[in-house]
Amino acid sequence: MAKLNEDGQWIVLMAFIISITMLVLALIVNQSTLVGTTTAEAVLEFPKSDIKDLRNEILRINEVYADSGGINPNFFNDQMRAIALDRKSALVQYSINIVNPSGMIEIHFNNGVTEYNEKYY
Amino acid sequence: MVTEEGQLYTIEGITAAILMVLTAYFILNSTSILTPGDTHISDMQLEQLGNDALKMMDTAKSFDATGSTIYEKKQSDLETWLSYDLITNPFIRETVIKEFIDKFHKYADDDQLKLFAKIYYSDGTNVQLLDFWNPPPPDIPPFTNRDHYVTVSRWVYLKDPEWDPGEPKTVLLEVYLWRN
Repeated sequence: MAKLNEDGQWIVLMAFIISITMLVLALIVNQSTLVGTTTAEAVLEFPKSDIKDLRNEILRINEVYADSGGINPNFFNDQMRAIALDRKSALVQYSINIVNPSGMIEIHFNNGVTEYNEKYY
Repeated sequence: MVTEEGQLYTIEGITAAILMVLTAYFILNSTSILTPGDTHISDMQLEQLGNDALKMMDTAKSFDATGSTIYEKKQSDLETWLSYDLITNPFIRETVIKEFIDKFHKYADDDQLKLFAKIYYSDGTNVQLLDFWNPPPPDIPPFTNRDHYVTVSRWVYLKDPEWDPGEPKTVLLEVYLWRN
């Protein structure tokens, strides 16, 4: 039996190592798309901006009422609840202390997935 | 008797087998990776961009000490624009819309951003729609299920809107955003 030619073993070994490295790198790239998607989905689903916007609006209403009085600030609650239910599928509720406008404000937000309750002093 | 010959061939054989199995696994598995993955990521960024632009518009540029009440002192661009007579006066409406779109492009730093906007308000019993800005025909989106647009919104407090005088309102400004 002719003896096997064992030249070039290092080159062959390096080729193995490189191909396996590429395989691992491909696996990482492959997973990164999935990770980006799930992260983005989670961010899109969480109503961060809705809640911040709602707080901002309620504090604005309270600020205007505390400064110049006028219409009962809880009057806007019905408008906002109707619009939020219609457009954002979210339940929105707040109450402003009309006797002492610098008192406590209660803010509630619930869109079925995320619920947010706050007592603002 | 066990000899030590052909070790490299054995390694090669095992590696080749692993490579083939993994390649087959990847090919079969990759069909479940959805292409909309990319749009989710850009949707998320676009939504954040839109919300930030609206927030900037709804924040007063500076504290105006000459205003008589805190509402005037801290009145934002958005509160000013949406208070104009948008229903009966087409000229004012055009001006406001142009300003709104210019500012939106400026704040988002993207002139190619396409948008249209709607205002929702309550008339006491029902939620009413005020079409704030509908783009002219070349820009009207087809809105099939494949389109990717995001909706961002902002509550705006209008103390005395000219289109419904004497009635303070909280209106919801909804902006649909997309890129071509």
